[in-house]
Amino acid sequence: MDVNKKYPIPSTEEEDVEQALGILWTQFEQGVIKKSELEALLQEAIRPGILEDLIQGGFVSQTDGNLCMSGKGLTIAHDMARRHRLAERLLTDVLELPREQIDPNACRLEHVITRDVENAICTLLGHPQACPHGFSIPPGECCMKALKHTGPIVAPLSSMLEGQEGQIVYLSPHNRPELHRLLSMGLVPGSVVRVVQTSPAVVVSTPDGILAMDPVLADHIFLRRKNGAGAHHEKQ
Amino acid sequence: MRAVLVGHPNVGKSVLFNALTGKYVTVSNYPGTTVDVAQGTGRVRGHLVEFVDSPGIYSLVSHSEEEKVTRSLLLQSPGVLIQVADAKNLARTLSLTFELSELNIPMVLCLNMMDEADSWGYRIDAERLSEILGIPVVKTVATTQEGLEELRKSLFQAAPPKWKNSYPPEVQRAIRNLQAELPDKLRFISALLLQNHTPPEDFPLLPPQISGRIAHCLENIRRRFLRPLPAIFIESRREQAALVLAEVLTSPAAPFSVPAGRGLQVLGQWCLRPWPGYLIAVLALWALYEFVGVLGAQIAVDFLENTVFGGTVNPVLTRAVHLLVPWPFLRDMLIGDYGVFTMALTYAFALILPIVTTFFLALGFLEDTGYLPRLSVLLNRAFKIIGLNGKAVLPMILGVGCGTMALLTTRILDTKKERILASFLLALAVPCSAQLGVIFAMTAGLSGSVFALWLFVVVATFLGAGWVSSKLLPGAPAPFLMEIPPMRLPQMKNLLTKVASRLKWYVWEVVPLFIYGTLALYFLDALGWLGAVERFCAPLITGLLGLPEKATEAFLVGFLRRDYGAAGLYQLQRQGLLSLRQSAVSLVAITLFMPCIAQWFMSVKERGLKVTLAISGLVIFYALLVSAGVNQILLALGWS
Repeated sequence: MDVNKKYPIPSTEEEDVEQALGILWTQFEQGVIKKSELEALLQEAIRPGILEDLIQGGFVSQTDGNLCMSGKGLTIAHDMARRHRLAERLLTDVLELPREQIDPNACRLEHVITRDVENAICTLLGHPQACPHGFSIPPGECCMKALKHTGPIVAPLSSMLEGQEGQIVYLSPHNRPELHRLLSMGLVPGSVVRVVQTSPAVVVSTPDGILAMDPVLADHIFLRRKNGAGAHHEKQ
Repeated sequence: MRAVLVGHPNVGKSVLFNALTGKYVTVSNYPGTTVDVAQGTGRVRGHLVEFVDSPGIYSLVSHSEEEKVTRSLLLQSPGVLIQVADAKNLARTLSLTFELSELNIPMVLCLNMMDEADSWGYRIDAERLSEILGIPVVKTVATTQEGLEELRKSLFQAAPPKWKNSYPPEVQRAIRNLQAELPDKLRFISALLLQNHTPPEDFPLLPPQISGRIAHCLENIRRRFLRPLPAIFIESRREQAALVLAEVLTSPAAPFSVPAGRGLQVLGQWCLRPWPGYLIAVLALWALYEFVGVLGAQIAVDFLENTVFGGTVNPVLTRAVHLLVPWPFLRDMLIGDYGVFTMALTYAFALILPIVTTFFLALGFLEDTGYLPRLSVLLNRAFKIIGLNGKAVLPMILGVGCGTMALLTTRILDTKKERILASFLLALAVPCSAQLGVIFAMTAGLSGSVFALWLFVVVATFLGAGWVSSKLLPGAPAPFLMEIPPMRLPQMKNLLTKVASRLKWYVWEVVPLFIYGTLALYFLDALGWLGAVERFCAPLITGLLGLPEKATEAFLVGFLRRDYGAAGLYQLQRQGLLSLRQSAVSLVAITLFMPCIAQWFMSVKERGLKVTLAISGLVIFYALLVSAGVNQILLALGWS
């Protein structure tokens, strides 16, 4: 992979605009709104003159030396921040990429991820609230819908209640030797498990038999909930 | 011909092995108790077949000792491979079959526990499965010997599986790349190497001169994959298994319901929950104590020691030795104070054998019911405090029976750190049943506060010493992960077979240790060194611990026989030579003090001399320190 060499990535006009708006979103979050500071930052990260283009394109406006995003700009920036941070989560939790590859890849992905893919990733990850760096992930439609109905759909096994059933979506014990043990004991993506009890150890019933494990291990097993308390909320 | 039985834990490998060979081996429900690899010969159609029973495994990728043992067995001694499987659990069975198929060894798949599978509503098309895999598939019920004849016959039709795993293209490319680096003979381990965490130099078979290159090649390949390779392999095998299952299996509608033995399964669930689980645990431990501690250690021991050995066997032997052996040196060695007959064999057969027998019966019963893994779940948190996990329940409970035996089962613990920790605690703070009997007798005549003090010191030592040493020993504890087998009613015949095989092990492996120990003590005594050691130690006992000089002998003898030490003190107490304070101090000291010599030898065998010496040094130091402390505190409190 050559991402390391070409980062920041040379890109089309459109991608530059998206990238710049994404950067502005992050800076605004942290309370940085001064034009002078932001201009320097954008110039370094993307190219000289990009801020002028944003203002001319009607994405950003300025008052008293401070910058402010227009409705059009805000929509794109929101999507960029959301896609970038979801991508980071995906690369970190599910694909387990080394840390130095997370950001460059997320920067590329944010431009190619479509709305549908964005929501699918969000659902797969259980509508996460924050990216690996701790920035909050702006919620999308899918999150709103999910919150209204069931709460996060994909959740770690350790958060499930007795009697709940779920299908394993992924396991994330980062390179821990237990990963293999869990997999070979039948906790593979796709298999359906039911929580028998949660204390003093997590006990689950799998098609392969009954397994007992430390809650620590249960933190690393992510399931898509099927019934139980989740469905109960839905009815209310 | 040689046939190796392989399969997941708790699928009935050992029962099948017994049926095929007629030899006694350990069979149990507790994951991983087939500690040694059992071998035996059986006759199949006039041919002698050497059967090997391997420890249960989940995969050939090794994490535990058991998996390492089995992997080397399979890599080094191909003959016929009999995969024994739980017929109720075809998905994981096939996943392992696919993994085994890569070894290219002639194979038979034995679907065991067919009776349970039938009653759970599973219908399996064995013929179609056999066609797909290209190996014989036989249905059996090992406990009733059903299908065994067919299994024997199938050994002669065994063939390397025709089945070829179809991994994703990038994985297949990786396998081919690695194969190019390997000598022709070893190509088949390519996939296995890719899935393993262990460095290639740990692999048997692999010539050391190429292992460096292989490691480098593996590193390159792994970097190309976003996800851990073992995960990709397992998921791929599972997917293929699901496709095959769709063709050969009709399963019941509700996969989680348990039609057979509902009451037993409800009991099984109760045993897992805090309520009434802890109550059941207390009841079970109480029953264990009544059976082993009272019936075995008191009633049966009393009868055997006083009536059988004291009244008949030893007098007869003594007379015989006097008649037949003219040399006093040899006479003393056989029937003297430290004689092989009068001390070692009396101890081994009159004292320990009844305890061990009742203990094996009780333990075998608990194992076969499937209760022990449930107890592990309940006690997991408590064991966490001392750096162990729920799996340590077995060695610790065994330790209350006999520490020597308990040491052997520390093998089931996952890491070296846990094994050393468990061995240390067994040596320091777990009194064995022989000792407990005398300790209870001693405290019975005293005020309750002495017993309470003793109990407090022992429990505090167990938790405190465990906690401290778990912090000091390097390494992280393995997280608790255990399969919980269904509750079953033990079958008397299998239980007795198991107890018989363990008793045989006791007689052949442990009794000699008693004899060596007695001989060592005899020579020390004959050379006059015992007296010298006693004189050397006396100041410690009288000065530091404030005990009468005569107690020194009790501590020295206590090394050979834990209960003799305690019994020596008991004698002193009955003669009125121990005050209340001295009784309390000596009880604490004898409990914490060195384990018996058999346990010491077992520790050397299992942990090595260096670790055992370190443990011994620590135990002696700690026992003296705490006993001296108790002595000082009691003196300060005005106990005389």
